[in-house]
Amino acid sequence: MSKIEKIVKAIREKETLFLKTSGTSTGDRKDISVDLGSRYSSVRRLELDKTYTVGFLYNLDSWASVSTISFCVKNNINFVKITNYEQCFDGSVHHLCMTPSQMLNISLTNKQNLSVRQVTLGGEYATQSVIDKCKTTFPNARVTHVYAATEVGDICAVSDGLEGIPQHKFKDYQILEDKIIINGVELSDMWQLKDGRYYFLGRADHRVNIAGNLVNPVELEKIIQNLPGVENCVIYSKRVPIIGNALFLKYIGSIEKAELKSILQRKLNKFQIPFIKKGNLIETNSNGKKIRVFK
Amino acid sequence: MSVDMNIIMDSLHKIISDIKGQEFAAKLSDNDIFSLVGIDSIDYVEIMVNFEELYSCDILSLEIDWSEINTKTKLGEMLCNYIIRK
Repeated sequence: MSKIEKIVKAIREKETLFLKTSGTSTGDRKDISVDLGSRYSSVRRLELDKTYTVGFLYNLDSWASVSTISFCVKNNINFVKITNYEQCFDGSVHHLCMTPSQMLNISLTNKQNLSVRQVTLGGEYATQSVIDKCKTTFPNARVTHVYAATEVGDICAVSDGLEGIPQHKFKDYQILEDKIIINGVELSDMWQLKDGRYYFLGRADHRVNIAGNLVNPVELEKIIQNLPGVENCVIYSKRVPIIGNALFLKYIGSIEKAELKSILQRKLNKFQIPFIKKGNLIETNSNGKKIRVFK
Repeated sequence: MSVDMNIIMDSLHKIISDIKGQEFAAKLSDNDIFSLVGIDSIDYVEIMVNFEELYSCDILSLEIDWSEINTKTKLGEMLCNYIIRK
């Protein structure tokens, strides 16, 4: 029995599945059991033509893939696991599900697919830049971004083309400075309310101490990602002598290192400015997420 | 790898010039103590990161007393020895 068949069987028979968390903070992927009998996603409210095919790029060990397969099985919709980016353009899929990092890598192909009707971004926070690139690559698609966690399942979905979560979608959750509590489960995700929307600030346990100053790499990454000439980027940290930790930026784009550094010097404090490296590819882990922390 | 102290010192001068500006690098003497002339700990690590990139090496993982290496000459000597041994 293939892995997909095992997941489908578990969904149909409401069994317990063993998944892995993404391990983006430590590199260690924790095993977690998910009782599919008690967990049903109600965040996906999609009127999808039953003849459409859903293609997903998520790793099969992740909650995002189980949630996608579960949605398809319960609604009797065809689905396919996509194994390379070219399949996103071959016309055989109408609904794509992927991480924002995978979306950014796909957008680097500079191709368009007019036949895709829906793109669902999950597994990571979707910034405005990712949503806009998604709309450029798949101009006829509705773009939805899903907030979910392996520990609690799907939390909410947003399809208005904007970054962030409308305030009312979090009304049942407790939001503290360094965590959000959902149905009694504490997640170290940090959210900031601004003009009626919650914006993701990163995970509390991702903050890095640089020469005595606490820096939030995700916040920094969002600033850099939105700069002209930057196509994709990742901030990661590394233990170094003298200052304890250092932040490194790897980016893809037309802007040169010196110019980028000069822009960052005007916008940021010195301790917030990462050491910059230009690359050709932003690697993702097996869950399709950027690798942000090196041990 | 064929390197000598002069090449390493030239590389350091170029790196410091990129980080702190040409004028600063020109004024910096070989025996100025970094922290006293405005090269702080973040600049210091950036010098090392750029050096690692230039010479494709891993200096920052060395377990040495970095506080002792506080001038361009001392840094140059350490790096030169490291590159020759590599």
